[in-house]
Amino acid sequence: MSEDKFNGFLDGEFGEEVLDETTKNDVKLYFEALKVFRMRYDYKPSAKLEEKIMHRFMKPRRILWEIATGVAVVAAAFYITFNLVPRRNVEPAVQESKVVSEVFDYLSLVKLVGDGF
Amino acid sequence: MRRTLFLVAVVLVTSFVLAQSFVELYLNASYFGRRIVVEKGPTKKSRIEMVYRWPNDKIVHVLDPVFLVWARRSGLFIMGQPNNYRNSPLEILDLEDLFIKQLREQGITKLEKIDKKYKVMVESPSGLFTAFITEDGLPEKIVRVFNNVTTELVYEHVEVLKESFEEVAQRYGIKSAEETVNLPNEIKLILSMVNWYTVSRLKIGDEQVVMIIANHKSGSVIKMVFSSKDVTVNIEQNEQLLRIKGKDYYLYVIAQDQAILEQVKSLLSKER
Repeated sequence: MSEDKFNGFLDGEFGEEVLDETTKNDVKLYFEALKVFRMRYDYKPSAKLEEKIMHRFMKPRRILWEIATGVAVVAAAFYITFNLVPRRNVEPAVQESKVVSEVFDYLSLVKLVGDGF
Repeated sequence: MRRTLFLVAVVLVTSFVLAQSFVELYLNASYFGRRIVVEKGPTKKSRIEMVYRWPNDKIVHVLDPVFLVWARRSGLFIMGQPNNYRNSPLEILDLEDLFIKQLREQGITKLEKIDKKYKVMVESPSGLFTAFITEDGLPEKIVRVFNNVTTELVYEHVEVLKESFEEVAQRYGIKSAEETVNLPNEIKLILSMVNWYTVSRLKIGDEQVVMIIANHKSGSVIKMVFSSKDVTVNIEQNEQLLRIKGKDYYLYVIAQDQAILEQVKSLLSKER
């Protein structure tokens, strides 16, 4: 094949009669290939197939997004609980002696199970 | 006329003898029962209990509001939970014990027979008691009205008890307790002078104390403040204060009536 003639023909510099048989055959193959390529290139899948394919890509992304949101919410809850909410003072303000609590507990029980003296 | 008087006398004597017989049966009865006690007044309380009663002894298993067992054996009291009993320095008297105590001391004020049971009324300084007792001497219901407080004890089931105290006590793991609850003797003695008391916690400065408000048998109010440290107790103008220092505690007795306070002092000095 003469590449110069092949390109010249495609560029419209000269007509088909100038081409030898081999180049003519190659030109024919080129047009066939171009036709097939156009057919593939112009192909548009149906809406259903498109949705199916896109869904396949979107699903993992959505799960990742949900996990990320969950982690963010938990982190925010921890932060609020341990930093912003005022903590209850665990230490009793007033220390009650053992002797006082024993007398209170005992008298309360006698009062509860008895009906007077 | 003579015949009528004779008949009236016969009826009266018969009623008296019958009344005596059912009272004797009741006082000497041994029974097991399930009962509910409800107190209505400024403060309310209720209990559900199982009771084993012998003429002189008693075992009460309180089911609600707390799980607790108390027993009276030969005039001594113990309380607690299985395998953790302690001697009680104070007497534990339920409504039934109080009724029997007043029945013995005051006698029957009024007696009515309704079908096969007796309605017994006893007026006493501790209130008006009304009890319903069957001919067999088993209790059905006891009600006390005192100072706008009504206490009602209702047996939902009563049956004759054939087991001995020891048998039931063994089942509850009741043995003679080795330890006694630590209650200052002064509080015990003062409480022997009152009909009832209330107990609460109070904060004086940084110190947690116990406040006991009691009704003296004379009707006068007597207050006690129990603390592990010396605290400043404020009193009203018409009140008198007695400060007692114990081994590891302080007790402040407050009374409006000077005579009551003197009575307390006298009682405490006798015991020392």
